[in-house]
Amino acid sequence: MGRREKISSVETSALFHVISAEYGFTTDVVLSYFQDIDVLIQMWERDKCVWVYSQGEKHQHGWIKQSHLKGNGALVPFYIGLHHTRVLDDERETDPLLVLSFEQREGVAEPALVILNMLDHADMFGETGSAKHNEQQMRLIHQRLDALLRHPSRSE
Amino acid sequence: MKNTPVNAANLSGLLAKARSAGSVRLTGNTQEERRQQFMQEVLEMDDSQSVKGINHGQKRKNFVR
Repeated sequence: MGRREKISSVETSALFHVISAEYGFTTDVVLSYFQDIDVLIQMWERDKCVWVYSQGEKHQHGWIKQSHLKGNGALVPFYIGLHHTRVLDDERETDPLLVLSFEQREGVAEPALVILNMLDHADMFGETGSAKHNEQQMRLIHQRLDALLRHPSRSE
Repeated sequence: MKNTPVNAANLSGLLAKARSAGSVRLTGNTQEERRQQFMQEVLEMDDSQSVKGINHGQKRKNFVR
């Protein structure tokens, strides 16, 4: 049985589109999933809560899972504090995923549920092959994110 | 047995920035209003990039791969 986590709101990170694009979900692809994403957002907003399930429990549409706990019981420390859920309400389709986090907001008792990015299961959890980005690519991506964060339009 | 996903280190670094960046809450009452807000404020598409006519299911994960 999952556990219920109260939330105050559902938000989407300002860097969602840039990071999603790095994993193949460009704006037109993300947009093609908008209805599916919005169904989840409206469900969570309406209920003011989200159900968190664990390994071995059956997934239900809209339930989210801690990302740092693997099926074999191993820990992925990089993913501590992150959760993920399937976008589609389709038992046969496990991709794509939304990655989420709970973020406290000043003066608000319950955390916001923030959608961080969209990607495929293999890009988040795949253990074989080489990384999707090399060191130089990562440096450029971080530079781009930093530039976006420094942009005057983000200072309000 | 290797347990760490190959993209975990890079992805977690990017997501740390996503967590500290600002965020957008969709407030529209109709689906069209919410879609417009999503396009403009989340995807940062301007009017010239508006892709009217892309509907639910038109592009799926096969498009991504």
